[in-house]
Amino acid sequence: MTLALALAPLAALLSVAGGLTVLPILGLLTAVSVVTLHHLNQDLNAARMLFVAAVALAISVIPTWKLNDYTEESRTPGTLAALSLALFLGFTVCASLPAEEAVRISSVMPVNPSAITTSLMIIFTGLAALALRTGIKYQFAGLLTACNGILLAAANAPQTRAVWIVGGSILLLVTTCLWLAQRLSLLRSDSDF
Amino acid sequence: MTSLAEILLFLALSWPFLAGAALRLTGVRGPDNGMHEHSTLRIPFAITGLFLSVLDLLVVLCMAGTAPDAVHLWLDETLLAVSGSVILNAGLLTECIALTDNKNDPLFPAECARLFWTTGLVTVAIFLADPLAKIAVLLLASVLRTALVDAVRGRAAGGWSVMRLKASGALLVLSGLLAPGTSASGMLAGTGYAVLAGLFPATAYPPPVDKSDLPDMRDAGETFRLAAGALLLASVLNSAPSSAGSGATLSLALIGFGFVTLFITSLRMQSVLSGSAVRLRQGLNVSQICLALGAIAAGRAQPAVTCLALSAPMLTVPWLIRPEPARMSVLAGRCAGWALGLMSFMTVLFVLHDIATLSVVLTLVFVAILLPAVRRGGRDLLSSPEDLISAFRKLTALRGNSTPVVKEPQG
Repeated sequence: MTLALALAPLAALLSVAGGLTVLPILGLLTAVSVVTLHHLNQDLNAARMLFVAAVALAISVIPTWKLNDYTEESRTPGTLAALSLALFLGFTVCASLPAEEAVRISSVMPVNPSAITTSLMIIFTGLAALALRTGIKYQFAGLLTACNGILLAAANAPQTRAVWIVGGSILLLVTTCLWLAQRLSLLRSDSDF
Repeated sequence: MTSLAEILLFLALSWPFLAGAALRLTGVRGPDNGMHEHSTLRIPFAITGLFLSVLDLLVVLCMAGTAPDAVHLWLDETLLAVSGSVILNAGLLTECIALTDNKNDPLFPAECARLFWTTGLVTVAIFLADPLAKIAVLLLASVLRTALVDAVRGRAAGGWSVMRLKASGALLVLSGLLAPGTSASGMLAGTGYAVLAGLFPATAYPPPVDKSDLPDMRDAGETFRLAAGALLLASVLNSAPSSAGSGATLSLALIGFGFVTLFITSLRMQSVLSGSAVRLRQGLNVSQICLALGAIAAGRAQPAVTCLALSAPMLTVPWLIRPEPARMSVLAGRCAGWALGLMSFMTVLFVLHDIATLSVVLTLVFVAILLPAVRRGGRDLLSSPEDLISAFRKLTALRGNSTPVVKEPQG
């Protein structure tokens, strides 16, 4: 467990409250964790780790930069419900899926067992924000958080193909959602004036 | 024989993309009558796709004695996958026929091509061997649908809600497949498949409020095909799970979400008021019930029952969606109502037969949930036979002496 890996769920929880502004920090933490995963386990392919780190940085920085100019208009924020659901799910993950047990049961050997719990916590936090926050920018931030968690889990998975498939589909998904978010945010600022 | 099967499989998989590209390229807008040149090409293309997949099914059935599962490099040609592709192609053909004579609201070339492309992507997703690649291609189909449907002005909000749902489902499935912890992985994947298939946490169709919502229902066939693709993927994954523990929790999650969806939809069917669009609403409710039955059958590892459950709404929902001014579509709507009701009732019997071997309490719960839904659906969907016959007589009588009536506006 590295420091970046330990701080990543905290950044995910902050991104539920803070939206897109916290997201570059989460992306940086994910990228650093992925690269250090590679350092802990030398027999992994370096190219896939760099690919995952680059995708994590790209999906965290580019949407924040692109959506910086648009305003967010949401009457009922729903931060409390999303935060409590995320905390509950994270606690459930920590209580029901200890990393050592997962390693003992599973037939396939993951790269770093402690990253399983962390990535599941990040994914659940993101999905809680995606489901319960109102306002497209916060929901989009939740989607990106969940994508970061998925990328961490993919870098942790033993299959070599997983990284390329997951990274490619996440890039596609985020591109489409960014396009939709830009159009929706434009509509909102139009209706305000 | 093996090379023939491979060539057929390749043709059947690549045909929808070729047909969609051809439709997109040849789709020229007619001069003034609003008809498109390609609208005549859609049905032969869809028939060809169905024919190829049926041939593929026959070849697989013939080869079942010699080589049980032909495993290619990336593709896994099982019987379930081939029958799923037949059902998907039949649904595509039905939608093409049902949407043809809609002259006052013509289809755009990209819209016709989109149906072929998304169906082709779902078919490829069923055939792929790697579970991660399957779910990635299914997500690609949703992304393509959103990018092509909601590129129109003012539809971005609907596109975002669809993308939100599909993305959360796909991310749940991905996290389930990537986390190697056994019990949690099956539960996560089952929840994700339930979200993708439009079961309890989400619904497959937005409930139509009144008649003005009906133009939005034109995508309902495609929505249903994407949901059915997710169910077929879940069925494939459940019939060959990666580990024993994850398979057990996956089937448990599918059966649980199926039962909850049955309960909620059965309640919702009771509250539908009789009105103009009652047949459409009950048809959508019944197809939701069929999705739930398919999920239960997938959880019980009965792929044949899943295919039967999916084929009923796949073949009939496009006929129910059609606007009803023409007499032909009245008859088609009545026949579709009968077919949907009877086929879904048959599915109920099959699932009941399967559950009865499992436990008595579950069987009683199943019957108690479904009896009101069967009563209500039978009253609303199955019109009386005299009604059907009179609609048919009216149509044939009109056909008999309709030649001057049809020629009148031209002259």
